[in-house]
Amino acid sequence: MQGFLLMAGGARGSEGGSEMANKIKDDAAGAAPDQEKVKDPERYIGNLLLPTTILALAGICLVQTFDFPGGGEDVGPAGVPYLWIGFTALFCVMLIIQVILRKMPPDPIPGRIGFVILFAGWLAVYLIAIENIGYYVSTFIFLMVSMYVLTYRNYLIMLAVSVGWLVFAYLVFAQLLFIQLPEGPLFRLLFE
Amino acid sequence: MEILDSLIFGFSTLIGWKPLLIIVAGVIVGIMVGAMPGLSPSTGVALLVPFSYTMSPALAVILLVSIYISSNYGGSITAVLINTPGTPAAAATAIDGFPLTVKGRAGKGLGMSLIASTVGGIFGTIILIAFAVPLARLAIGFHPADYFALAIFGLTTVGSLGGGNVAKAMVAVLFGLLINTVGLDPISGVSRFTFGIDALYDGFSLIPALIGLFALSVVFTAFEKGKLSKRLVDAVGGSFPTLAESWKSKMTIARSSVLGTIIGIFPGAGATIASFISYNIAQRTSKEPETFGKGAMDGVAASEAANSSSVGGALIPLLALGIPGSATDAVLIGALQLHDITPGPLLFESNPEIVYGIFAALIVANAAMLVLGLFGVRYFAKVVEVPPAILYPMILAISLIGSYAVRSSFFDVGACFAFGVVGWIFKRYGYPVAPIVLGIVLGSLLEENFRRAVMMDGPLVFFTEPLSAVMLSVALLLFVWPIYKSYRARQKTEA
Repeated sequence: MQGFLLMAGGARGSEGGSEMANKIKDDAAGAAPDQEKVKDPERYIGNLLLPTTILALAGICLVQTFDFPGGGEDVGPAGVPYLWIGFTALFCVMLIIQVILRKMPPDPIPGRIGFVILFAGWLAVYLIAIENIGYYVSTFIFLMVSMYVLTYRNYLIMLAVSVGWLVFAYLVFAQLLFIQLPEGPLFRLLFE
Repeated sequence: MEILDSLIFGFSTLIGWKPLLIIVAGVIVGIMVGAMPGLSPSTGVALLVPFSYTMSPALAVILLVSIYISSNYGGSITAVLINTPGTPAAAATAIDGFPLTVKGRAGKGLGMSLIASTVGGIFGTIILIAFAVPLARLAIGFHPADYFALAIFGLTTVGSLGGGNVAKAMVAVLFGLLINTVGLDPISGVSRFTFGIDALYDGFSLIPALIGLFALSVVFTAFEKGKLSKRLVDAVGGSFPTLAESWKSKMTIARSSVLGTIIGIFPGAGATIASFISYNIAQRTSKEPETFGKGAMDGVAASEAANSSSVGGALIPLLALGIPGSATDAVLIGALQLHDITPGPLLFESNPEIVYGIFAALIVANAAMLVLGLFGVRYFAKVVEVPPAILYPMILAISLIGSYAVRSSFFDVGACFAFGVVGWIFKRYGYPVAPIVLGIVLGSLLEENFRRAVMMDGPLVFFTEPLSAVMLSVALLLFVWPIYKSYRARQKTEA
């Protein structure tokens, strides 16, 4: 079982074998520091959580398939999802075992995760704002604030980029492609 | 000799400033449409259909075909420069194109993409000219089991996208395949995994998923790593590949052009599958497979040659039988019908100027694409010189509007955002994101043909249909062989 897990964890391309061999040699050479790392279970939380979450999602999908009607002559609407769910469970379990056996690298060292979450939140606010105050106003604010937050300080360029993008978006999407971007009350007041 | 005479006749329809101007305009529009995430080749062709109303049928077709061929190349520009594939087919190009940019070799990536696209496009056209009718008849005779086997063959690409851990790549592709099952079942119409959300009845659209997984995830990863005052690359490197560098990829380009044309003939297979399969074969046959995913010129060449040559392949069933091989072909059929032209076997006799005009226009459009691309490469490459503080918000703005443009749906924008977060998390833990796209692309083809084949001839049909049996055997071999080799290598090392 362990051999198979390692095989699945180690395959690369058709020529991947020799590279893998080199990697294994490298790993062997650097075994001492690696073993130091693997003793700390906290370094594998992310690696464990991800396949576990996907496994849980597959489980939810499986429960959902019980409500699907049968397919009669056909394989049925649940047939192919069963296949994908089954294989997903198999490979997730393999990954979880790889983590338990410490046969994969530990979690990456966290970077500025707080900043990513903050910016993702800002992006979510922007998406909500598009529907409420319109695409043009919200995008202008989004671009200006984002550039500022990312430490850019040439205000003239910031203004030119933001306005330039809005003009481009208006001409190409609204005028040429007839894609109705939400205009919002301010835009309507100014241009209609 | 008859073909040559017909082709000369086709070129004669292009004589004059008007057809040439139309080709150049079509190529420019096509490159721009392709480079814009969210605007697919089919959108570009559909967009220009109204402009063709007042043109003669021949000129209208020349314009639309020029957009079609060049938008496939355009998709690679943003894929190489900012890891945002302009078209789904360019997703495979981004795998090696973007690392080239990060290494300061954006010009090399763009140049190789241009050369491969041009050669692939011309090759596909030549095959179209020479074998349109017999190949089209052959293609419609394929059993659903053959299509299923083709999709499985496409999935073997996963082995080469795994980045060292096949289990992670498999989880990623299965995640994509499961995503593809969300919505109404294509055969029975039963709603699956919609959780009562109306927007999910149509399933997830490919483009927002693609943009989120490739573009947004890059931005989130950059934010996590910090160093936002640092430019995306240290040196732009707008220089074009040298002749020697281009020549080194000759076999890859030739092989991928053949593969792309053949896959393009399969109605519904399309440029994206052609790109991924060719990329996979290129890596497996390469003397330096370890360079793939890290900026291999052959990786870019394989993907681009295949997706451009698939255009010629997809036009074969369209012109010879009136069957659209792709979404863009369906739009083209509509445009032809607007001009009272019905594609099919009779077209070769009733409107030879249209058929051979298309052939000639494809060749000239490829040449125009090469010239315009050569001129543009150094300017396109300047994009990455933009400070990250401007570039990243712009990528976000382009990504979100691109997602919205597909169906004018905020759900798609939200999905793009969610896929961006998924892509970032997957990348953090070493899960490749390209297999997710592959799963979404191949999901429908796999499921529909699997079920049709079973309905028609029972579950053993996959092994009794000769083509299916051969393709499935090769796919199994391609998947198992690297695992076996790494196992052997490990055993040797342990010994």
